[in-house]
Amino acid sequence: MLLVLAAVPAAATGTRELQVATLRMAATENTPSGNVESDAIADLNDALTREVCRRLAVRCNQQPMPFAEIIPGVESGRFQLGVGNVLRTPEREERVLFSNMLWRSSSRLVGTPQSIRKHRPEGSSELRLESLRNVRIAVERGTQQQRYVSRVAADNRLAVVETTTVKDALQQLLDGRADFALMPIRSAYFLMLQQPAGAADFAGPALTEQGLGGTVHMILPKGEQALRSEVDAALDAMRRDGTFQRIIRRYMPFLAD
Amino acid sequence: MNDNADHSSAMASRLSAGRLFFRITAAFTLAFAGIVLWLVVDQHALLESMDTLQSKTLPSSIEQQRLARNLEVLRLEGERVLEARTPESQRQSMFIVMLMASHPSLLSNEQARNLAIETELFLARAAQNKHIDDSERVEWSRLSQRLSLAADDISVNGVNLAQADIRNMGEIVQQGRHKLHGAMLLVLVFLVFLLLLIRQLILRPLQQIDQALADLKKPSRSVDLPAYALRELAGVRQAIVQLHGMMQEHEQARDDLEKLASTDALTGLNNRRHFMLLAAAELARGQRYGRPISVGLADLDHFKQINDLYGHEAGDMALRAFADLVRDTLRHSDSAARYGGEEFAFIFPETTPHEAIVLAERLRSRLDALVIPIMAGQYVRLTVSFGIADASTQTLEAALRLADDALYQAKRNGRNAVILAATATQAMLPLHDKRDSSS
Repeated sequence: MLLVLAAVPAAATGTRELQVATLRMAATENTPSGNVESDAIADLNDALTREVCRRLAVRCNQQPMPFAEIIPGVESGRFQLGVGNVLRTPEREERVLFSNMLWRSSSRLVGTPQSIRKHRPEGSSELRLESLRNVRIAVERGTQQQRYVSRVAADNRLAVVETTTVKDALQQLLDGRADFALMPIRSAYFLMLQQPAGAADFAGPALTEQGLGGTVHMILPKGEQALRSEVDAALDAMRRDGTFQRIIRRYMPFLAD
Repeated sequence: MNDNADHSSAMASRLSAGRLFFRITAAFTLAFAGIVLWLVVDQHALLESMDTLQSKTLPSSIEQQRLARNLEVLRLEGERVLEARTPESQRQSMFIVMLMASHPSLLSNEQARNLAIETELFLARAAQNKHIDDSERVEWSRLSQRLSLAADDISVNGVNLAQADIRNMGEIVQQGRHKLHGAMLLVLVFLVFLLLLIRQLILRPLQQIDQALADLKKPSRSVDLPAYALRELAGVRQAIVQLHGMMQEHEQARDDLEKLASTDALTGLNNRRHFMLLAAAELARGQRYGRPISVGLADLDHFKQINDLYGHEAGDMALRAFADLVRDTLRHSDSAARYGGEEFAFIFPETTPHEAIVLAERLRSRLDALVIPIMAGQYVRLTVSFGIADASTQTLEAALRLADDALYQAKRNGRNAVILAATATQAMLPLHDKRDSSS
């Protein structure tokens, strides 16, 4: 009997089904989210997505994928929802719809102590991204960080090391295949916590200009205005009843939205 | 013609009810619409303020609160960096400090950004040392205090932002309330004014007109209506005045006709037909109540000679003189009539035959003494013969017949005498002056 019930497709029972593109932190596709590596940022996104889906009374099929595939996947309509720390930019607004804000984000350089010492300007304690020359910078493909570094790479004689995931970008740094990694601050926080002390450190000031900072949202296909309204209502309700804040606190020691 | 023109001009200068109420309503509508428009402007301003509060001020206020909270988190994590017991916990706190210092909300506020950068640099430097010395603790204490103060200032600013908008909205609502009260007062004043106007211009005139219409039935009562401001009511008043005039004329005409039908044109006394009606009515009344009543017939002696000698005009003048004497001599309750030619009939209600004889004798004697002018320088004198009969126990015709018999007896006795009918006491009164102008 249970087997028969389980076999009934969602459409037959009248339950809506959403295809959700979520961010995969690890490089290997087979590595599920929430494994021993504890991708806390992915778990946070997963928990928020589940709560939104529960409030929308829909069944969500989450499919982890690299950041670079999330926006095209949602834009094409293959996924009805994308949850991957997507910064809101005018260019992306042309392609997809954005939900209400989840939180704010900025970007920051991460370097090994050696690379930071090596590239710190003489007589100044402040290392700045725009001052760097002849260095290799690892960035996650499809991100605003990759977009920015690629744009200034030629002028500043920078080598862009593109990676599939943000974790790969840090790994490139740790493996010595990159001098710095330019990462979203929250992802960097979670990844660096997993590293032994002294392995990597933040370098230079936080960056919010040139599309490197702003508000983070869930995204939806252009034609899904009604669904966006539902998602916004769910997020508002989550904030009003404190569910949103509790989910954040489950994965982070502070709200900082 | 001039009166009509004046009347038309006066009517034209008056205001029609429709136009008056249209003007009043238009004035009220304009005033009310003005206040409503005023309220709409306030409403619009209120909605704009609410929208600003909702879409800008409150989000800004919330942002300020978040910024204050993030500064506080930064300060607390800074404390943890300095107080950490293990390198691992110190490292984790340091990461959070860096995360908070990189938060866009702090970076968007110059004061918070500078403070965050300063805090991060200080803590990063302090974390590199194994031991935190006193000077670093003092410096941190100052930094921590600055963070707290900045958080408080930003929080208070956020609250004040909303308060300014709320105060503004409160003022608009207060103004709106005053205006609403003004509108209600205007409506009240208008209603009172309208009711007073209706009472003054319509109800009271209608009551007066109603009274005037009721009074039209009363004889010879003049129409007492004031001039009205409204053209329609002024028209009704004019119609009532005209109607009253026409009714008066008709009344007069009817009276004249009645008089013509009941009086003798030459003498002004009752004619025979009317006399018979009056006498019959008096006789019926007297006999019903057992009251005395008498009738009399009189004939001017030798009257034909006056006509023959002086002409009919002189005869007419003599007849009129006798009629005047009758009116002067008899009582109001007595009735006299020209019975035919120079013959006259009388009825004396509440009068016994003897009392009637006294009255007839008085008339006879006064005529006997009367000199009647008939034309320039010419006079005649007349006498009259009377027959009196008791009418209290017989019919009018019978009584008149008896009176006629008595009159005949007076004529036979030499004229200028009053004779009571045979059934009653015969009164042969002495003739004081046997001169007969006609003889």
